[in-house]
This record gives sequence, structure tokens and C-alpha cells, in this order.
Amino acid sequence: MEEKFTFSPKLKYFSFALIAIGIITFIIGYMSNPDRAWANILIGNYYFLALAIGATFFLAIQYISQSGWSSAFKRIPESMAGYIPIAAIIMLLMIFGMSYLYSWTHPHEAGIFDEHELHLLHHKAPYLNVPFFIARMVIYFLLWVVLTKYLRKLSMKEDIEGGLDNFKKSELYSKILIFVLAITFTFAAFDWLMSLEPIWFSTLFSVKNFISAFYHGSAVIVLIAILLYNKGYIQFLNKAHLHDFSKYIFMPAILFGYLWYSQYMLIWYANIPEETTYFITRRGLSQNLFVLNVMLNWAIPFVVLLPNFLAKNKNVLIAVIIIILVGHYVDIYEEIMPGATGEYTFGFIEVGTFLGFAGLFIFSTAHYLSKANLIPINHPYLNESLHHSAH
Amino acid sequence: MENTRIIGVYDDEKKLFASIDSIQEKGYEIADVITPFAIEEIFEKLNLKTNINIAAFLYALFGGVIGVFLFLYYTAVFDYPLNIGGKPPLSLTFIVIIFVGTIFVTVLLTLLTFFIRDKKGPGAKEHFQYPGITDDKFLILIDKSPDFTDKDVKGINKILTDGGAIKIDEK
Repeated sequence: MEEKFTFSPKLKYFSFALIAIGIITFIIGYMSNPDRAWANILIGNYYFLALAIGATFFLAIQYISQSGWSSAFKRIPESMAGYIPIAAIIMLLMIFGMSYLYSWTHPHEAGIFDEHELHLLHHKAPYLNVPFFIARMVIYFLLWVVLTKYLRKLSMKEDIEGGLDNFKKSELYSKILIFVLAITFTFAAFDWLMSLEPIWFSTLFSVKNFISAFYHGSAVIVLIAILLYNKGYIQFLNKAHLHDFSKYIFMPAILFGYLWYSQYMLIWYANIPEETTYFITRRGLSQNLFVLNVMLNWAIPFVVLLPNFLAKNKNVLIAVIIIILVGHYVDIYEEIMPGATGEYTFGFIEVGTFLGFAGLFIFSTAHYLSKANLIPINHPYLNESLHHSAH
Repeated sequence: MENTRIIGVYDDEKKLFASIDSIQEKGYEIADVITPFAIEEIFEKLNLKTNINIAAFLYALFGGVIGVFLFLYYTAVFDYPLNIGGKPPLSLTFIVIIFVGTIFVTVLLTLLTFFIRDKKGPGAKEHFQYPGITDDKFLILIDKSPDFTDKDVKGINKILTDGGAIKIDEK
């Protein structure tokens, strides 16, 4: 049952080309409009970091629920988590762009905040200041990297040693991981995204982002599994696996729609000026993009994956996943762009920077996939996964 | 009971699957399989099909989404519009009630459909009773049709015993 993924030179050069495009567009963007360039760095990095975090959460849930069907695919989320250290480096580089992105770093500059807002920011200062911001960022990444690397190490050890010890340890660390993720990712979303508009606040914002990360992370796991199957790996993938996978897209799609609506409806109904600015800005800039977000992320996947026969079809799943990955971009773009630059601009800088990050993500995922057996040969539930038939 | 049935009692679902296969191989029809919990494989083996999910979808669409919306529209917009915080009467808050109302309507109607189709419900006569079926026993029921010869009955009994049945009964 040993299978190894070979990182083909073609894919390697393809990802290098994408990274090169990203670097070039960032430099061009930085020359012409640094605000926009840094905003794109944040969009791209957060996009793929969310996928990695979502995949880690998926992996942790599989361990905790001791689910058998998914055990043969656990190398995929493990490899996706390999992007977290890269994201850490880029986020730390982003410190140089903080003054472009976050207006609260220089609140007294003329024309940004009025008297009342300055007063509010003064109250937020003990939390929202540059040294603490960086310290928090370091802590988040330290926790994420240590825990995901440790899970990966246990999984590698299991391949060699076998036995139940590593599995039991993985389960325990998964339990720790989801608590850590829930708390740190909440604050990470507050820090990196919500503080772009420092006056505005929403308590549902982080939950929505976390669910969105889980949603799109598991969608990418499914995408990678299907692509691997089409390339001739993991030939045991069957309809029952696909059905279970599509449940992991369908379920968070509903949750995403629920939280998106809850956030919007509560703010709309309460009608507090400090809260409504967020939506007034966004709907003022583009009503279409606002509706497109919930269409791509909730309505289309919900309707398409509802009938059983469509949820088990590989081509339909690939199409749906591509749609919701576009939706993920729209969602993050909508969260970041108006706060960072004050407008919606979409051009080759956005596309190029995104492609650069996509290249990084493809490279790191393929690299970690090729480092280990594609199938965890000593996983206690492996047999159940290989012969998964009930649906 | 209009006709008697041959009952094979098992205490292990793995043996049950094997027996179902061998009975179907011999060409005998299985009337029913009774298990203490739902087992997916039995749906496949007996080729049981259900349309209740389609029915539930239609209930949700017409009874839930459209029905509850019309009800809300009649009460909150047409018949007795109230000014709550200056919000328009036809508003986003409808979605919350439609969401909850859809679940309520769908569950009730689906349950009702299930009861009607399966002739169950409060006051219904019990279909079949056997000690242990809600505990840890798995049952295979085979209708004993009038044209069964003694040889057939013996054959079925043999398959059941060979498959690991702990008891064979007729009822």
C-alpha cells in the first residue's frame, strides 16, 4: 500500500514561475501604490493561511472524532499545514507595511480620524499598539507552527513504528489544537482584518472568518484529493469518500451563510453608527460584490450539493470548489480592500500577487506531500478508510 | 398475521450480512430485516429505496419557505403592520422566522408522511414483536408462501443455521 507522490519538475517550475510573477507584481505595485501592494500581500497571505488553518482544523476533528473514512487522506491536510511557517515569515515582513495598512498606527495624522474617533482609539490603545500587535502575532504563529509540526512528527513516527501510542498522542494534541486555534485565530482575525477599520467592531466577525477558513480549507483538501486521483494516485477513492467529503463542503457552507447573515442582520437591525459604517462603505462601493460574496460562498454550493448524485460527482465537486475558492477571494477582498485602501481596485497587481501566493502554497503543499508516504500505512483506521463503502 | 414467517435470530451483524447474501443467492425473498440500529449495508443489500428526502425537500420549499413567508407577509405586512424601530415591515428579519419555521414544518410533515406510509403512530397496531429486537438481536424474516415445500423450508433453515443464527423460529 506504499505510495509516494513525486513532485514533478514541471509542477515545481510552474510554482516557481507563479512566485516570480508575484514578486514582480508586488515590486511594481509597491512603486506605484504601496497601500494597494501591501493590501494585496495581506489578502494573498491571509487567503492561504486560512486554507492551512482550516485544513489543520479538519485534521484535528478527524482525530478527535476518531473517524475512519478520512484516515487515508490525512497527509493532504498535514501537507497544507506546511504553509503556516511561510505565512509567518510573510506576516512578519508585513510589519514594514503596517503604517500603510493600519491607520491606528498613526492616528494623529490629519484627516483620518475626528475628535470622537480619536477618543475611542485612545481607549483601544492598550490592546491596539504596535509592540503588542507584533508580540501577539509571534505568539499565534509559534503556537500554530509548534502544534502542527508536532502532529506531523507523530504521524511520521507512526509510519515507522506503528502501534496505537502515536495515534493516542495525536488525539490528545488535536484536542489541545482546536482550543488553541479557536482562541488564537479569533484574535488573529481581530488583529489583522478587523483592525483595518479600528473604529468598527463585530463580535461575529472572527467566528465567520474561522468557519470560512474551515470551509475553504476542507474544500481544498477535497480538490487536492481529486487531483491526486486524476493523476493516478490514491486509486481507492470512491463515491462514498466523495460523498463524505462533499458533506464537509455542504455543512460549513450553511454555517458560513448563517454567520454572514447573522452579522449583517444584527448590525442592520441595531443600527448603531459605529457598526453600520462597515456595511455602508461596502455596499456603497459595490452592491454587486456584496451580494456576490454570499452567492458564491453559500447559495451556489448549497443548491448544487443538495441532490445526492451531484454531491458524489468528481467534476461537479471540482466546479463547486473552484466557485467557492473564488468566493473565498471575494470574501477576503471585501474585508480587506475598503479598510486598507478605501476603494475597490482590481487589476493585474491583484491577480499577480495572488498568483504568487498560489505558487508558494502549491510549492509548500507538494513539497510536504512528496516528503512522506501518501497513505499513512500504519494508521489504525486505515483499512476502514480504504474499504469505505457505507454512505 | 396473514401468513407465517420464518425468523432467523442473530447476535452478530457480520454473520447477518453473510446470511442475507446466501439467502438471496438461493433465490429466496427476504421480507424484512430487523436490527436494533440502522445499518447502511442492509439498505444496499435489500435494495431498499426511499423518496422521503425528495418529499422533505418539497415540504421545505413549499410548506416552509413559501408557506411561512406568505403567512408572515399576511400577518406582518398586510393585516397588521407595526412600526418597530423604524424598520420596514417587510424586512430581513423574515429570514430568521422562515429558517426556523421551515425546519418545523418540514420535520412535522416528514414525520407525518413516515407514519402514514409505515402505518405507525399513536394507537397503531404493532406490526411485529419479538423478544430482543430493541436490545441486541438481529432478525431476518422470510415470508412462508403457500407454495413452499418442506424441502424449501428445510433449505432456508439450513442456510440460516449455517450462517450462524442462534435460533430459528416461526411466527
